[in-house]
Order: sequence, then C-alpha cells, then structure tokens
Amino acid sequence: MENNRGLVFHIIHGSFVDGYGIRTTVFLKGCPLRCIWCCNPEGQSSHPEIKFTSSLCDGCGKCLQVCPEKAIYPDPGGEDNKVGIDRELCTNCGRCVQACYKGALDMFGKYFTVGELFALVKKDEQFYRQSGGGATLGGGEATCQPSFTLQFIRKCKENYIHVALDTCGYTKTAEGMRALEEADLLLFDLKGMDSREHLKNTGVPNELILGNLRRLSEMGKAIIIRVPVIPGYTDSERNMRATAEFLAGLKSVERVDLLAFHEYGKVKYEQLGKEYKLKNVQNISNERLEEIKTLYESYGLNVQLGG
Amino acid sequence: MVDRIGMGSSARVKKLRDRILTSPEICIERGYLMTKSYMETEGEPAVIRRAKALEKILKEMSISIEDGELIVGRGSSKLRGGVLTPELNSSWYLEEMDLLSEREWDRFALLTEEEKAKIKEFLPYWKRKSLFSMWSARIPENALRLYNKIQAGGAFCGNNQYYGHVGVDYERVLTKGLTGIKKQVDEELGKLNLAKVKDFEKYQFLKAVNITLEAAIGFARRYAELAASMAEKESDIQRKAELERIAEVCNWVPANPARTFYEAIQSLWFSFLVIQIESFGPGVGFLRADQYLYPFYKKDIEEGRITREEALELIELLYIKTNELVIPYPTEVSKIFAGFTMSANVTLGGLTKDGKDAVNELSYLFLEAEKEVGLNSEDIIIRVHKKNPDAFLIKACEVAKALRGKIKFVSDETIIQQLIKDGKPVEYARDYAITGCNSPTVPGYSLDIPGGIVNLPLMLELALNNGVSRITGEQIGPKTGDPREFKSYDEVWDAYKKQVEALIPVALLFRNVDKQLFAEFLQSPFQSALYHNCIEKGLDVINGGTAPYISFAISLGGAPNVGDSLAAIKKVVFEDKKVTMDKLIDALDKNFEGEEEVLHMLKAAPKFGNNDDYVDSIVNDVLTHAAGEVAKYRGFRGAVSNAAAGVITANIPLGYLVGALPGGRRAGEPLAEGGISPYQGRNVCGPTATMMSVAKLDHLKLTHGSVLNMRFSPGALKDESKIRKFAALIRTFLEAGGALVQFNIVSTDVLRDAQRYPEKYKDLLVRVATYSAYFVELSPELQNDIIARFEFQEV
Repeated sequence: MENNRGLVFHIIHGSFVDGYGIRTTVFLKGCPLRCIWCCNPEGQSSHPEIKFTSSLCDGCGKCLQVCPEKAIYPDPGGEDNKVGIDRELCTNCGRCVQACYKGALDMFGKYFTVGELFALVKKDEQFYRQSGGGATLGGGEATCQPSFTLQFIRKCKENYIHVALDTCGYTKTAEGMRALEEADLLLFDLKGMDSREHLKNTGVPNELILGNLRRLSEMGKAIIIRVPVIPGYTDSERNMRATAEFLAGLKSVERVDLLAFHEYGKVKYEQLGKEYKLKNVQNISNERLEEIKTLYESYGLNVQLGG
Repeated sequence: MVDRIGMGSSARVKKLRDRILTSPEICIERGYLMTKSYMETEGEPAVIRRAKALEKILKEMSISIEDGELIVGRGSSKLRGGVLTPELNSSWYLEEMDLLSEREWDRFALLTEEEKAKIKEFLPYWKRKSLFSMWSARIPENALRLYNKIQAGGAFCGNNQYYGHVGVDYERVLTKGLTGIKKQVDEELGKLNLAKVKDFEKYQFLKAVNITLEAAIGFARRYAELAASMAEKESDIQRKAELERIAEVCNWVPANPARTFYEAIQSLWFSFLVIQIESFGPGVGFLRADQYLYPFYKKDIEEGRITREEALELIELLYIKTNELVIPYPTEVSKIFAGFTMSANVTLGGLTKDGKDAVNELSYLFLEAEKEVGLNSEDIIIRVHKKNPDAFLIKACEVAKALRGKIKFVSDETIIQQLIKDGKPVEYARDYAITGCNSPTVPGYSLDIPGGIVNLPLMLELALNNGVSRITGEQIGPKTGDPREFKSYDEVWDAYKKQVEALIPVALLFRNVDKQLFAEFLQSPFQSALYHNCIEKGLDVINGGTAPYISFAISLGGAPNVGDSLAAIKKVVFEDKKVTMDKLIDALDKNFEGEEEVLHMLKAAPKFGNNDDYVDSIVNDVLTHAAGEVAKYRGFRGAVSNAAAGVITANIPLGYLVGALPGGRRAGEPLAEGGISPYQGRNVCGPTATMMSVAKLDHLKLTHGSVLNMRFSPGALKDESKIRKFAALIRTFLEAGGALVQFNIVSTDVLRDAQRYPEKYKDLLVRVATYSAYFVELSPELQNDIIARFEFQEV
C-alpha cells in the first residue's frame, strides 16, 4: 500500500506560476539532484523531516523528554535557552512535534493517497476552467515517487483536469518515464549544458536529462523549459548560449522561463539544520536578465522572465 | 521610493490633485447657518425647517472658484473641509475640539480661537435638540447601556452622519432639470385637497421640496455670478474664456436639462453637493455614471463638441471634487470609520436593465480617469457579469495594480439574485449600484441602508461566560448556563444562539429608532425629489417614499472569529477530547497566560479561509443564524430587514471589548477585518482556497453584501500574463457565489517603510475596510492590522 501514498510537503491553492492559468501546485518529496541553489531543500529527502523554527522555541524542554533517540539537546547557543537537534541521531519519528506546543517543531512531509490529494486539487476546478489552469506536480522531483505520480496524473486526466509535471528530467524508472509522457505539460528544468559543471552544481551529470528531454520533444510533448539563472553557477555567457542553441534544436518547446536567483529558500535550510551553501551570491540585475532574454530570443525561442 | 501614481492626464488635473493632498480642516459655516436657521424657524413643521435651513446655507455659505477649476461648487470653505452637523450630534464638538487635532488618526488642523469661540456660541442651542440626544433619551436605559458594546455605529445620528448610502436618480436632474422636477411638484400640489389629512401632510412635504429645489438653483446661480465677475477681471485670455463658460454652464444647470457632457458633469456635481450639504453622510455616490452619462458623451463626440481627452479631464476633475469633503467623527466613532472617506462610489459595467452587457466607452474612461487621480474618496466598483468583456475586467485589474488595490469587484450574478430575493423586480435588480461599503441599491427606486455592526464574537464570549463580559465583568447577555457544564458541541451552539437571539433585537431597536427619528425631524426633501416616487407619494425618502422598496440592514462583524472558535471547540474539546470545557474556560479566563499548550491545540484546529468545509460550514451557520434573527423583524416603514457580513474598521474597537476566544485570538486583539475576510494571517493555503471559503457561504442570506479583503504582493501581478490570471481569479470567485472582493496590492516592506517615513508616502492609499484611506493618516494600530493580513506572494 505504501506505493499508493505520496509524500507531500506543500500545496499552494492558486499559484500564478508553475504552468498555464491558475494552478494548484503540489510539492512532492524526494529528489535525485542536490542543486547548490536549491530553494526547496525540504523536497530533497524522500522521508518526512523535522522542521525546527528556533524563533518559535521558548526552551520549555518537553521535546527532550519524548525523543527516543536523545537527538535533541538543550541550550545549544548557551544563551537563548533553546534546543538543538542532532540530525545524525534523529529518525524523524515526529514525537517531538506532538510534544511541542509552540509550533517550533513541525514536520515537512505528509502522506496522502491519490484520492485524498485529488479531492484537494479538485476544489480549485472552477478556477482552472476560467483561466485554462490545472494541477502541477512539483517538488522535489515528482518522478521520485513514480507510481504515485503516474496514478495521480491519470486520475486528473480521467477527470479532464489539466496536469503539469515540473521535472528535473533525471528519471530512470519506467513509471517515471510514463509520468513524463502522460502529463499534459512538462515544466522541464535545464541546469547546465556542460556535464562536468552540471555534476558539480547538482550532484549528477546531465546526459540522462538531455536524452530524456530530446526524446520527449521528439514525441511532441508540450514543454516549458525552466532555466535557473544563478550568478557564478549557471549564468555564464557560454552556458546560456549553449542552452539556447540546444533548445533551438528541439521540436516542442513552447516557452523558456528564466528563473532569477532568489533567497526565499534560505530559512528552510535553517529549519532543516542544513548548511546554506550559496553565500555572497549577488542578486541578478534586471539588465542582465533582459540581455539573456534577448540572447534566447535571437535563437527564435519564446522567453518569459519568471515562472 | 513609491512609484508615482495619479499624475493627472493634464497639468490642470495634476495641480488640483496635488492641492487636495493636505490636512483636513473643520469648516464651521454649515453648522453655524443651520443653527441660525433653526432659531428662526421654531414652531414651523419639521420638514419646512429642514428646507429653510438648506436654503439659508446655500444662500449664505461662502463660495469660491479655484484657479484652474472647470467643475465648480464647494461644500465647505476649506480645501479639504470637515463640515459640522450639530443637528445630529452636537455635544462632542465642545468636548473634543482640541482632541481633533491631537488624536492619533483622522486628525484635523487646529481650529482658530475665533472659530472655537463661535462654536461655543451656537452649539448649546442643540443641547436637547440634536437627534442623538433625543435618540439617547428615547432608548430604554437597560438597552442604552449596551450601546457600542454589542454593536458599533448602530445609530447614524450618534455617528454624526446622515445615513448616506443613497441611490438617487441623477438622470432625472440631467434630463428634466430641477425646474422640470419642480413642475412635477407643482402638479402634485395642484391635485391636493387640503381637507384630507393625508393630503395636508403631503402639502408640507411638497412645499419643502420646492424650497430646496429653488435653493439649489440659486446656489448654482451664485457660482454663475461669481464666475462672470471673475472673468471680467481675468487677464489670461484662456482662463477668461473658461470662466465665461463656467458662468454660462452654472446659469443653465442644474435648473435646466443638460445639453452637453460638460453641463451633465456640472449638474451632477451640484446635485451631489446639495445632497451632501442637506444630509451630510458617507456613501452617497455617482452610481451608474457610465450609463446615465453615456448619451451626453456619445452625442458630444459624434457632433465634435468634445474630445476623448477633454471628457477624461472632466471626469478626473469630478473625482478630485469628491475629496474636498470629509466627515469629522467623534473620536470613538472615528475608530469605526477611520480614514476620512466619503465613499463616493462610481459603479461601472455589469448588465443593463434589459439584461445586456452594459460596458461602453465611458466605462473605460471612468477607469482611466481613476488611474490618473487615485485619491481616497472616489470609489470605483466594477460590476462583473459573464457578458462583460475580458478587456474591461483586465483593464480594471491593471488600474487596481497601479493604485495598489483600491478597485472593488462585485458579482452581478450574486447581487442581482440578492435584490430579487429582497423583493425587487428583475429589471430593477439588474440596474443596481453599490453605495457606501457594500450596499446594493436600485438608483431612483429604492432605499437600502445599513444600521450598525453587531459584535458576534462578544456574543460567543457571553455564551462561554454565562452572559458576562470577560473584559468588564458586566452582565450583558442572558444567563445561558455554566459553560464548564456543557456536555456537547450542541450545548455550546445553543447557548451562543440564545445570546444572539437576545441581543440582535437590541441592535435592531437602536437602528429602528434612529431611522424613525430621521423621519420625524431630519427629512431630506431635496434628496427625495431625486427619486421616482417620493413626489407622487408626497413622502420623504426616509419616511417610506420608496416603499415597498426599502431595506435596513445590520452588519455582522467577526463571524470568522466565531466560526474559528466554534470549530476549535468542536474539534479539540468534543471530538478529540484533548481539552475539557473546564480547562478551556480556565484558559480563556487567563487569556492563555500559562496555557500555551491549550492555545497551541486550539490554533491547530481548522481555520476559516482555507477551503475546509469543517470550519467553513460553521461560519455559514453563524452567518445564516444571525441573518435569520435580523430578518425576523421588519424595519421602520415596513422595510425588509437584512444582513451583511461587514465590519468597516470596527474590527479594532469591537475587539477591545472581547476577551480571549477559543479560536486562539487573545483578549483585546482586533477581530477579523472586512467582514468575511479570514482572521488576519489564518488563511495559509493560497488565494483560491480563501476565495472558495467565502464563495461557498450562502449569500442569499446576506443580501446587504459581504466584504472580502485580500492582500497580494505586487510581484504576484508583475506582468500581463499574471494580470490575466488575477482577472480570472476574480471572475471565478464572483461567478462561484462570492459578492465582493477588493485588494491591497502592496508589499509589507513598503508599508513598514511608510510607517518609518510617512512624509515620503503622502498619497499611499490602502484598502482599510470597504474604502480606501491614506496609510499615513491611520493609527499605528490600524496600520499594523493591515500589515497582519496574509500577503499572497509571487512564489
């Protein structure tokens, strides 16, 4: 039965990004990539994870008493009377979340059956009808939960609800590939053309991704490409040009969205006890974005700034 | 820095717009002249005294024409003038004269010693004669002690406002002229047989109407003379010609039918102004201006008499004029209506009387003009019907974005059904306009006005404290039993219902006596002449002149707090049994001090605004039940008694009176704003979820309207594709059962910056309640309440 349940860490009812029209975006946990700039680090692991917001903690210590692994320790900074979590010891069992009444301890990730999740998505159907919108599966990487994702896509299609899949394209499983093939729209991330750089930035080489993208494009899938523009990582003239050139050779790319670097994800690294590796990255200027846009357009691509 | 908005489409508009961005001042002329007239007319019939007072004011108040003005006529002697209405509520002027320039919000410039002395001289006349003193004397003591506790703003006279919210038929003035209307009055007078008691009553009223019509014509002629004499002395050739034109126009209208778009706008402005001078109140609007002005515009354009740009400028000048007036409120009352608005509504789009798409070129022009002006008193309402083109709605969204919100969007589908349910014929219903905050009315044919905001969360508190206020210890409601003994959710619900059933009648008493006193002492003969049936019937508008099309409403405040609280009790106490009633009541008594664990569990229960039927259905029960209690009793002159989900800014003062609530709100904190907006910050699932929570409520039980405020970050609407999605969002909400939605499209950063550097943000408008106000003129508390509203972000 585990297969029928998907692990979801967030749902937005009424997103103006993530595809055409008004969307309900569902974020699934688990991702094969570890992008340095990842803004959803809570989407990386395939398991529920403890979220700790220290600003809400008043150091009452109830969590210390219930933790079976003794993973929580008191007074880490020595002054503010709060707690710390040893993530090595923590098994994410969630008992501390039950004990915390300040809301400082919470859980990233909740299981839903396909039916339960679909019922939530369906609540927004009237908005899809008016706007040409639908559901979007994002994450994390939805094809990391291939069976659930495929079933959910099919459920949407049975009900004539448009479904988009936001993917990094690093998919090996048969069901994952079926999910990519059956979704109405792919939001396909392209994070670098040089495989070695890609490996350095994301933890995986890019051959599988490019191959999948080529194949899906050959099939004529509706695809929106999403290019993260991260200063010092992906924004080199060489990479931008190579990306545009590659995309210009594909068949069914409807649009290229340039996603500018932002720091909205930073707080979540703290909540997960993870290190935020992007330090001192400058925000990208609008002028530079416009330049890149012009470059892509010179290859005949339809470009949008932002998702 | 803030982007500059409202530059005006011409240098003239820009100059006049900049001038109005100044501190309000009190003008004592109206109050003084009103008093003198009343001293002179003692012993005459009340309605005649009213007419003569208006006549005196219009004859003697100072008049002026500002440099650059094309549309003329002032309601006060000050640039942004607050007018005195001592006939409504007089004593507070004496008590708060100095406070007016010191209080934290709605501040007025200091009065001069001379002005103060004059006020002290004439105000005592009203000591036992002002409407509010008579009202207070008539209300039984055991009810009067509940005033401004169980409700707010329940007596217009106490608020120091006339009831406003009226929808006259301006078309009558534009097509017949006041002389034409006067002819009709004379005909009716000719039919009377004064031996008949009823006819003699009509006679007094009709005579009064004639006095006011002539007075209004005389007022315009004073402006004609002034313009002519200014023209003589003017050396600038262009301005001289303009003044000559003004003289010509004011000589002709509003006495005669308007012949051009310019005359129509001037005639409209005089009509509006005289309505205000007679009965000074918020929510008197221009109604469906894109409909009744269209024939004038079309003819002028076709005959080459005016250009689109000239028409645009005239509309902008009209908007600016509405900002010359503000209402001075007593300090306590100003907490309910904070922000100096006149809510001069303009309702655009929607359906025509015969069910066709009503959007025309003027609808667009009125929108465009608002983008150029964007001040707080003119208030644009977009009626949205399936038949209206997307281009119109999207244009309105663009203007909303440029003005950081401001525009109201209302549902034709919902509101037409509501009006039909309240007994209006379908052709009337289709011709509705919005007045005030959220009140639908049929211009020229019906009177639909509000009457106070009841404090529903207080009633829940009483149910959970055996009728006693937790804040004051006063026995306010009936003894509905020791809440610690309640054994089921139904017992809680029953106790709450009993409190509501005992206290809503008190709010109705306040409301009804208020209307009755207006009918007895302060009729509005000029305004009445601008309806279809008042002259035929010989009855003032407040005295049944529009019967049977009258409704008086009660607004229901804080329903989301009651819903959140009842849902928390149902879930945490009776279903999950995590907390006992005993423990819950302890926690409320302690305002959750030391009860954080209980508070956390209560907060985790379902909250309104997230499209969760568990709690949404309870909010619906709360509204439906209270609306049912309101509807049980007819209003004055047989009025339909109906309800709205609205709270204006009373969510803050009403919140002071309510202790801790089981939904997790602490004692004294504001209640949910808007009326049906989720409690600030509780709607976390996204905009469609919030909208569906509201759209699913039974709006046929809330026929006086409901108010949803939402806040978006400007980034969420950054380009055209996002604006289209925003338009689709609005359309879906309004077609799915919602009634009204409006927005603040401003980031928290900007609002915080404006708190720090108010001088940089003089014209930063925000949606406060169902109207706009300058952010920097609000109290820090209200500013923070706006910041606390959940901001839907770009990502």
